[in-house]
Amino acid sequence: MKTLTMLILLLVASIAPAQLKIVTTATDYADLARQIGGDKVTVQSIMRGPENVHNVLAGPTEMVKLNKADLFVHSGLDTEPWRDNLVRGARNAKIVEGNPSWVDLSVGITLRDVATGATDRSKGDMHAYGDPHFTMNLPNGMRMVATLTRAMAEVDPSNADFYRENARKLVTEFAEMNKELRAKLDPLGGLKIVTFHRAWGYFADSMGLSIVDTIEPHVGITPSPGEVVSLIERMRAQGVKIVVCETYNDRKLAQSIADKVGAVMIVLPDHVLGVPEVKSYQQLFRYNVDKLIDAAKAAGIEPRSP
Amino acid sequence: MHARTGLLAAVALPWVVSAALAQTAPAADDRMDQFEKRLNELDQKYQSELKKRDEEIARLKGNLNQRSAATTRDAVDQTKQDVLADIDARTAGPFTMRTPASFNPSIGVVSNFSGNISTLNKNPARNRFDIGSVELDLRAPIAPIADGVVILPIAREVESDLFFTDAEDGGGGIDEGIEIEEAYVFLHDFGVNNLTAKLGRFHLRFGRQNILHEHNWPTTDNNFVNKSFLGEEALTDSGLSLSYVIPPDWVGGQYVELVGEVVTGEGGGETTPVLNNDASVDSPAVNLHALWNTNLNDDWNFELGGSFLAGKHDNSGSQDAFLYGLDATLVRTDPTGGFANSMLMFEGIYGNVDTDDGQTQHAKGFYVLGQQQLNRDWYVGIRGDWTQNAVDDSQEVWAISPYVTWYYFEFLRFRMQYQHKDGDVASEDTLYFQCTFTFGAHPPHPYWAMK
Repeated sequence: MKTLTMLILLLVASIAPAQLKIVTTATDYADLARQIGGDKVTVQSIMRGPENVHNVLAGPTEMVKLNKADLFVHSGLDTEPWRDNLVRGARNAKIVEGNPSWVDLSVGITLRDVATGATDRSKGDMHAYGDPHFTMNLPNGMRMVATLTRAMAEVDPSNADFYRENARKLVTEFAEMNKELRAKLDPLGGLKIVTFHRAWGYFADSMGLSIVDTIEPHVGITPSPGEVVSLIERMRAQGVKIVVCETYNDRKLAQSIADKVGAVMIVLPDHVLGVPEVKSYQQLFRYNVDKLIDAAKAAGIEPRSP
Repeated sequence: MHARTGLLAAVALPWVVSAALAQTAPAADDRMDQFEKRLNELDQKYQSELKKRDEEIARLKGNLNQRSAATTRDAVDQTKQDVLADIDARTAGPFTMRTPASFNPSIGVVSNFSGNISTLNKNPARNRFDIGSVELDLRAPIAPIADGVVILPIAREVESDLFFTDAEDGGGGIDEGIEIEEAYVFLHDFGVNNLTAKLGRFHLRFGRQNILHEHNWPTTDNNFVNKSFLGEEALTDSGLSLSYVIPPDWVGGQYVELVGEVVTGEGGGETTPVLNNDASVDSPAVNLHALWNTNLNDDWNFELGGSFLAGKHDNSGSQDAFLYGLDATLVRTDPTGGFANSMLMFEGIYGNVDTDDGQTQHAKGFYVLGQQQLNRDWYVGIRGDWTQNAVDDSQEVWAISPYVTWYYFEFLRFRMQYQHKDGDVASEDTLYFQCTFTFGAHPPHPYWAMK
């Protein structure tokens, strides 16, 4: 009897529909894929969350994840310089650029800071296509959901309606959340902040923040002492009271700059799982907005009357 | 009474009815006439209104056409004004970026300016600064299934003999020239799952560091065991390389790669001490490499590799050369997302190499390298070397080499390295300096380069 039961279970398992295997570069994409795909998908992220998306140490064990992937979801552009080694080593012809399984989530996004004219490295480790940190923006999140859903539906048409239904709910939720969070920050009247890396432009756009400057004088370059002094003077002149440091950047330097101008330094994640409390894409925005409001309060910034 | 009244009524009724009918017919005709007249009036009124509307529509259409023409005239006038303003402007107008479809390859130029200060002044490779190499790196997809890679280093350096003992050992001349370090087609998808191939000239997959180009080394100079057995910079050769990753499902989700290479056996000529025959097709060399890579936990990654090379040591093909290699690498990724990554690396080689004196040399050697990344820009490390001479196992050399590396950023790097070298060679203390600068496109580093 036991043998028969086992055989039936094995048979059921073998005919059960296979889950769509999705591998993503970033934790944000993994969370969106899970929310869209539910129990129809298995999702793995190469990034763990707190690290810099440009500097992930992705080796052969990550290639193993990609070897059997049905979808490879990534940022496109030149966001993940380690991506090419990974794809080349994965030995999976499905996920090569140009195939439906190669899912570039920058598609449809209007990029900020797109270089015009001749470019060179005198501007630092600049990105050739424009600012690649587009995930930190809920309207962009809606666009990403649409792109991801299209790809999932194309590769797994039997569950397309299920994916689309979940995607519609997500997009509606993002739109409402954007209004809600913006309303929470609006009383702070274009809160002025300085960030370490140029990673917050899209977030500031959607939340009505004003990024006055960055600690890095040029993208990817640590400031010299003279540049730090100059930044402090500019912060004083502009009355900046909040310094934002990403989870992976030099907190001591950010704190010392904040101390010198009497500002509050906060560490904010720019990806899901950047800090343990942020387990979903929605939590990423709620956490950051709440931290900014707390920091503004601690810095003595009074909300405007409505 | 009732009967008489009834009779009277019966006689009167037809008269009354006929009289009434006589009166009703003219009234209905009048009303019909009035109704007809009214309809005619309405018809005339509606016709009149429709006519007015048609006239209004026609008038509006006319206006619209006039307005379009006016808009076009405005746009033309605006353009004219803009162009006139441009003509008078003293500053350049905004740049319009055009991005044509391009078939050009990605081109990178990597330059190594390096030098050293040493106690061993009689070694001509010491106490000098020079641009050691300028490497042109050209890459492009050449077909849906294949990429092309060409690496052309232009060298300008004095060859440094690992086993230098006195002035006669080193020639001292400046070695200048351009060479083909690598030029191959990489077939990444030709119908066999998990199998890729290289065809052309390439770095042999022997051990770990031999696949690296000079500017990717973690130290300023090559490790001693690779120098002694493989070559001054690397063992390169021409032929076919096949690489197969065993389907992870078959090996418990692990990464296991098998590499088989058949090459001419020429090696790099004089600069490769073991594999340096005349490239006859009757004396090919075979190189095999296997590696296993696994995550020990969330933060630690371990890789173990084994290599075997069989070839000929001389032009006649009578002297056999066999090399056995073992390599291990441990990488710790900073779990906080910061840059405090660590690496420990070991490579060892044992050789059986027939030499001109009719002897077989049983030489061996190894190095151990530890590196700690301090933050995004700074790295410190130390390398320990010990090796015998691959073609004279009576000679040995050892060294200890601490170093510090600073990246201004990805494309500009400075490195200092101290080295104490001793053994059956002239003892020396040397301070190396290196500046590596890159422009253009550059392929990503291997993950364990931690950059």
